[in-house]
Amino acid sequence: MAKYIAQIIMTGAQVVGRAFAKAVQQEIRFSQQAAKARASSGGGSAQSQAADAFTGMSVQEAKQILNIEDISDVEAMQKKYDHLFQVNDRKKGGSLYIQSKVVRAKERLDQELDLVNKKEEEPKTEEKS
Amino acid sequence: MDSIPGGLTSKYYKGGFDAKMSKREASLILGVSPSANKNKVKDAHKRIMLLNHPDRGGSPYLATKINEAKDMLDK
Repeated sequence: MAKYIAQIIMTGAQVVGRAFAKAVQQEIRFSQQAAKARASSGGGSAQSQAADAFTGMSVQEAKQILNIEDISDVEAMQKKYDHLFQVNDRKKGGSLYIQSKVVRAKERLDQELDLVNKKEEEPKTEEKS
Repeated sequence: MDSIPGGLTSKYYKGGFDAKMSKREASLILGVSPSANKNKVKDAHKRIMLLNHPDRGGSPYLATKINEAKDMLDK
């Protein structure tokens, strides 16, 4: 009898142990993924990250919303913005919430362009002096 | 003055999409009440999706959000 009880306890301990090891592995994987995501989204400068937090929208999300790859292509961005803004106008049966996100995405990218332009200007002035 | 985010154009909702879709956000996206019945949700989804269809110059990201919103309210 004692032998069986010992066996049951052993198998039970093994199952729990295995599950625990798996959970730890998963936790490690998740934290690695989160770190990677943070590194890729935080590719911008400290200013850019501050703007992310302030506006509540990352550059990455803004790009996705406007469906553009390159934010320096101002003309293409404006075109997409105009189209999406009009299409989602409330008078035409659109949703104000989606229109808002389009507006905020444009705002965020304009802001990012400002930051990039300022950064490009700075080294030049340093070279001159 | 455009560079002040959310300062002057306060008519629009602030920030980006929520990290995880909520019923509240879903109802805002589709422009229906959170307790709207299935038909209302279906109609709203169809209308908004037509406007934002990726084949017609819409954004795929917005399209996924619209579909997500419908799934959220369909339950």
